[in-house]
Amino acid sequence: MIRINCPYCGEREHSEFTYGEDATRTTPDNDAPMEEWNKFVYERDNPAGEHIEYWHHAFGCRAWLKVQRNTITHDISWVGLPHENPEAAS
Amino acid sequence: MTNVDTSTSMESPLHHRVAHTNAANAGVVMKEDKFRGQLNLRGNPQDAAFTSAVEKVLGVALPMAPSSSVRNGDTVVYWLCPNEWLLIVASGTQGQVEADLRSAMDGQHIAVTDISSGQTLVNLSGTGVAELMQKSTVYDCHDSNFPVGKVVQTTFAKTGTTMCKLEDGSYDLVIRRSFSDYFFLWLQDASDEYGLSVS
Amino acid sequence: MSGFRHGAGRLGDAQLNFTFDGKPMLARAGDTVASALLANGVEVVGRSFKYHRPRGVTSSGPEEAGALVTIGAGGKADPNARATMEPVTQGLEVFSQNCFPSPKFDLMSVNGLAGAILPGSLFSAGFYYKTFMWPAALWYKFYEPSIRAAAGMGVPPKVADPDIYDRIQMFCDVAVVGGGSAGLSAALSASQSGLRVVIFDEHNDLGGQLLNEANSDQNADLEQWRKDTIAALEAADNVTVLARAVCWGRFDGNMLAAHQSVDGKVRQNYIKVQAKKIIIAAGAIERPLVFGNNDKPNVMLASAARRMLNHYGTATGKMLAVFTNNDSAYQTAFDYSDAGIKVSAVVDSRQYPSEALVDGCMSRGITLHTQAVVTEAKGWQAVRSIEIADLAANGQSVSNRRRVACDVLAHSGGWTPQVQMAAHGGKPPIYDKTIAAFVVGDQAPDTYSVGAAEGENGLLAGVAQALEAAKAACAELGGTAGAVTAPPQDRDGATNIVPLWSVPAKGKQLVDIQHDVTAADVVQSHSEGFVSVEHLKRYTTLGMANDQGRTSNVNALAIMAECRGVSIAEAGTTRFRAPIAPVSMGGFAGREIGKHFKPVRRTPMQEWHEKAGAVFVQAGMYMRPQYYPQAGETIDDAYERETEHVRKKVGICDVTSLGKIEIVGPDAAEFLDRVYINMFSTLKVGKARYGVMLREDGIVYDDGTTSRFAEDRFFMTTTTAKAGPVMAYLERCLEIDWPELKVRVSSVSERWGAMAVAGPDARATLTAAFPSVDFSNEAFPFMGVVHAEHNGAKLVILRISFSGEMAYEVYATSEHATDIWQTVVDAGQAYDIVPYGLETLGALRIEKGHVTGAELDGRVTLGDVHMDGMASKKKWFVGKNLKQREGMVHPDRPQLVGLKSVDPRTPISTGSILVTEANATAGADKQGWVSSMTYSPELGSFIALGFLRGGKDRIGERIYAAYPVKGKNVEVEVVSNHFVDPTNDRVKG
Repeated sequence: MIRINCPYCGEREHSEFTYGEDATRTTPDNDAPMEEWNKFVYERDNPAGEHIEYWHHAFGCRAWLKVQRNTITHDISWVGLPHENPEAAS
Repeated sequence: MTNVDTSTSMESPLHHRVAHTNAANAGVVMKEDKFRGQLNLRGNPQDAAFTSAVEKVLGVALPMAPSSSVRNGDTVVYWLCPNEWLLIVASGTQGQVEADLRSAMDGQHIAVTDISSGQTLVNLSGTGVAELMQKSTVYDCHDSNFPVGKVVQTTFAKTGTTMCKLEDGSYDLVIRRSFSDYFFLWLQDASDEYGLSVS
Repeated sequence: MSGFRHGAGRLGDAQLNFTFDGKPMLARAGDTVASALLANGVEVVGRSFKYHRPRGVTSSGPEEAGALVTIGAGGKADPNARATMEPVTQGLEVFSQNCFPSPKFDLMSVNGLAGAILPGSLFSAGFYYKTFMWPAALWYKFYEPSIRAAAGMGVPPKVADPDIYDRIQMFCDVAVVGGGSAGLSAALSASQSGLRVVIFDEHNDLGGQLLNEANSDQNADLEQWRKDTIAALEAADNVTVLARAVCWGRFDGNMLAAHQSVDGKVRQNYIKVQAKKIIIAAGAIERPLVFGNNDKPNVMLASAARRMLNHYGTATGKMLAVFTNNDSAYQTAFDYSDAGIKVSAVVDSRQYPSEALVDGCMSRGITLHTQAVVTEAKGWQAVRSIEIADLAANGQSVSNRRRVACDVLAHSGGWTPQVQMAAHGGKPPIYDKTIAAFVVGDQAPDTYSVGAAEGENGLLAGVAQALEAAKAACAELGGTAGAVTAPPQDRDGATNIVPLWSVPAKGKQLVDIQHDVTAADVVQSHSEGFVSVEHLKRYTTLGMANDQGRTSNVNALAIMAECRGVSIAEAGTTRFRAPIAPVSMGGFAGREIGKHFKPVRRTPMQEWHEKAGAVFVQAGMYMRPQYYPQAGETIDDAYERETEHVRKKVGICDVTSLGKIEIVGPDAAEFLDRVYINMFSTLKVGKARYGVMLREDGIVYDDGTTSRFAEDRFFMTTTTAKAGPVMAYLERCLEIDWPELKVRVSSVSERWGAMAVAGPDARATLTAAFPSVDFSNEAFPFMGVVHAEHNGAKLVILRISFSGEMAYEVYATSEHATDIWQTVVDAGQAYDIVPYGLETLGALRIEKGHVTGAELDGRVTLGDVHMDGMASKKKWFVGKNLKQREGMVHPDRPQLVGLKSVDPRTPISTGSILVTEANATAGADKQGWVSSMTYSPELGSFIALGFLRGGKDRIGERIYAAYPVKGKNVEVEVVSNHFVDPTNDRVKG
């Protein structure tokens, strides 16, 4: 099954996690126009291939993590904290 | 109703389950370490003021390596995540420890929460425990992956637990109060072929 | 009666008794049901699926397609079990299937006759799409019931299964699938590196093809090697040997799934093995040849006939004949002959078998027919003779038919490597012409296929491959595989096969023996356009039975390739999907059934409720008291009494299941201002405030009460259902959205037990219970928070109410919670306190008009529930941006209203649709819905809360609550949702 390498707990079964959401969105400013907020809340790219997303280690350390996962093969190529990025690491 | 002996008025999460018929030569032995004080501590590990204050109060330095633990007499400290620890102290002392920590860290951005009554500490030992763990958790409990002193937060059957392996090879499990009954029922069934003894 | 006991094989002497269809039979410890039945002379074990033709044992392993039986009776019955995989135990009950009254005399065999009279028409390929269609009227009355009665194989038990199944999670570095010579070698070599090894084998005895070898002096050193290797593996600390374990699937992340049969308290284990490297040594399975009546009992695979004799000590017949297109089947003839059993013929479709084989036949006096085929197996119930013929040089026709006597025919069409597990890694197999079989082409990462599973049938060559794989696998993990002794003898792997996909003669030639699919069906499928192998499979159902095509796939697709005029490589195979063998549902459930299906969470006062006679109801994972019936009360009597009592005197209710969260830090107030719609930074220390959270799309998410304990410390409560989600949400906000805020959140849900004390006498009750606290209105006003201690318990008391009565929520540290509850109950005796449950909690809050999850159902906005005024205009909060969308503020949106039944005694059903017509039909204009309802003792009427379009301007209107499912239409009056205490006088008193 999918195993996620939590930076704090080590490699764990995905049953210890809950799926967060797309991590590629940028939050609009508080006073941005409604259309921008609408796009932010409802629109997604849904790529076939590499995807960056959040996972919550709910049954472990409860940290929120950012994960790069291939939506076709489920291969996880990078795991980090919410404010890190895969390019920066490599 | 005002002068009731406080010790009899307290109920541990597994108090109603002690009426289990113990098996002879039990392969699994369960012992509830009742009413241990448990405190959740959060603070910045990079802040020397914080770490030294804690060390002064507890008499032992906070463990910094991920998933590690330290012991000092009755006091045990589990590392839960970079800025969160579980402090387990002698029964009845948690109020004093909390007060001491607060005064030692006055002004700092820290959080100390007494969670003693909400969870209990259960020790599992015996020849059948290794297999019991294989049936109950998705974590690899083999010594090569789970050495003595390591702290692991993971699932246990359909609930969660924080566990630590002790020197004698037994496991200390932290179990939430409202799930304790379920935990015990599961333990009874899962240890059926090894025999269960509750002490 | 052809089979009989002959020698001991490798089994010991211990005798066992079992029954077959009630008849007593003898067996030895180590026998499978199949080997024992054959030894007892049983030939016909059941009947086939469609044609009800007699069926016997066709193999000695998982590829069994004929001997399908039901093992056990009652709740333990396991239908469609392959007799070749089931060990005999003392007292085992075995039953035949799909035949009435018995396997030998089956009334349904008329199906077979029908097939003979109308060849290819009644039950041919795809018959279910073509037959039983007309006239349509007969479908329900006749066709369907008849087909139901005739269809299926085996009968499932109708009572609960009493057996226990377990789910086990294992971890290893190297997993070896298959315990034959290659697998054993790889596992032993890998184990010597110190890495953790798991080895699986489907059979009780490990050894794979070595078990086909005669247990003779000549083979003694080979047998010793096998035993020594197994013993070494079992003794090693770092090796787990899983016998009788079917590895049936391989998943992402190198995880393997297996079902293991055990005979202890647990019947089966479902084992998930997390491996780092996988060595597939799953071996190869022999293919049958396709010729007339090749499904006749005692027509079986050559290697199976050999294993029956050499391993189980069961001679399958008194006169053996062999039909083959390759070298390997000759050994069966030689072993039987050497054991003193007559071999009447070896029929080889090839023109020039090797000299060694010819000499082997001659020296034993076995008649060898070359360039010959078996056209038909003959005999009434089981084979008694075969018709053989000469094969034309071009392989297209036969001539010179003649008969040969035999009571067992062992045949071999070649060997099929078991590539399924390797194919689960995602790489389709490729066709190798030299061995006429599919092998794994590109290996999946971390996977090695070795030995016969990769097309290498030679013993030493296969072991060498296995050792190479072990070496590579260990090296990649940083270990060094050990050197192990090779087997002391070799066996040549070359089969010199010349493919013969079907015999060119008329007759019923079976390709899939279990599903009764013939070669003609394959040809018909092609002529009807179902030419892809995936279509062929589904149209004919071949390969879809217990054996999952192990013996049928390759023959069928070769015939299809011939029809299409393409190469076999081009025709390709179907996809292999997990599970590759039948697996029990019990294994998947493990112990998570019954009381373990879902945890039942308990509050500290649970036992008190049980002793008080509460009736419980499921509330999330909790079982909460629904009501506390007194003698002779129904649920309605009870809740109406409790509700009235709370409004007149005082009641106490366990509300421990609420979520409770501590929020601490200098930015805690700012944090709450962002997640709640209303202001919390303005909340004074020692006060509580009702708060509402929105989702980012502007819909109401959750509500609760948050108290301020200190400047930087808040105590939040959430609804029971949202306790977990809100906690995760707050953590997410702090870790992802606003990491700059200095706030820490901790869940304290378990730390506090909680009870609501409500009613006009609540104040007096609590004053008596906790004399150290001043409960007067001046000292403890509405929405106040007080901290106290009692009997060693810490208490937090909030004065909040959702019931429309004066009320308090008392939080006590859980270890003392029962004591505190009892303290309040004892103090309340003077005021006639009663416990009340969820039913009453609901009735009270509906009378008050307070919303809960029934109203806040994920579709509803603040405006819909008249709370838009609560939202602060001075600050930003989550959901602020999108709550103002046109559709979210439209005046026609359904709005919260109260509904009162015009006839006070007529209940309104929750979920009713609100309409304006008295007798609403499907096309009626739907104006809204009913979300909650109760009987109100105070109003003496049934009331409800609901949502009505433009509701707030329609007070006084009379409409109807329609419930079409029960054909009800209840007239209701639209009223304000605050039925009781609309001005909050009672709660603020």
